[in-house]
Amino acid sequence: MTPSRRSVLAAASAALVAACTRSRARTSPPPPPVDPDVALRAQAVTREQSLINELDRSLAVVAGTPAAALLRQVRADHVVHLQALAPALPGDPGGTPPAPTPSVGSRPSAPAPAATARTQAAHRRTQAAREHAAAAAHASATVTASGPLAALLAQLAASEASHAAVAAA
Amino acid sequence: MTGSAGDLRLLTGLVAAEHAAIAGYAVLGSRLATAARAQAVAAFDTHRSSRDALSALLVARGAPVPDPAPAYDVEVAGQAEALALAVRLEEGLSLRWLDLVGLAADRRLRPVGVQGLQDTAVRAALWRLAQGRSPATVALPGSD
Repeated sequence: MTPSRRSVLAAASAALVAACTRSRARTSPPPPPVDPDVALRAQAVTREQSLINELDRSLAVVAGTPAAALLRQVRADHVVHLQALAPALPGDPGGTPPAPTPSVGSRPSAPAPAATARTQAAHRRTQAAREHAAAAAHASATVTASGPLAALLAQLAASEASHAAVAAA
Repeated sequence: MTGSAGDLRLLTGLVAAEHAAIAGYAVLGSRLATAARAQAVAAFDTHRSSRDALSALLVARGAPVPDPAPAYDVEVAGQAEALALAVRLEEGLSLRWLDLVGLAADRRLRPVGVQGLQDTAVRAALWRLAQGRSPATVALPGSD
């Protein structure tokens, strides 16, 4: 017996529905929406850690000088910034403050050949430029951040801007 | 253009704070030595510009611009008090600029707040430096 055209269409239609159903069943649930704050925080953490690393290199050169005192204060602010950004750390959603890298400059000043005034001035200028760049980057990130993160990034930008001004003064 | 009630409150508060800062600098500038006085004059001019820009934002949103208070209670006996007042004025403004960044519904106001906060943080740091305070910077400007 030859199947009627109607029964063929009905079977095809049922197969199509079944295929769609299977297809839906196999499909993973849609990924949760990406929170833009996560990437913005991580980028800010990278900037802060980079500033600390650069400061440590400078402090090793100007240890025991007036410039070192200033750079140590600036470094202390950046450690606070890292702590404020802590929830962004990978694998650490609880917000444990990051451990900044060990710093030569954060130890009490040890006797060392004093850097010349010119060397100190050069390190201050360099740090001012780094802080200025970081301030601009933090400020740019406020555009797409959530309100609370934008406020924090604005504070970091303001702090870096003041570091730049004091280092250049 | 109209603004949300919250944004208008933030902008109105900032204009009022700028009025107070202008009045404060007008008094404290005369108590400062030459170099610091030049710094105060520059700050005075900047606060006037800022007040005018913020007032324009209110006008554009159809909101009234607050007038300065009839008088401000500003007494500055000498250079030390003048420097201390300058720091307080900038720190007070930084709270309001930070609120604009974090709370404004209109995101176009955010860069205005970010720039304002940076400017007040820089001026506060330079005034602390003039006071001989160390550290002259703070980690999180605009925090209480």
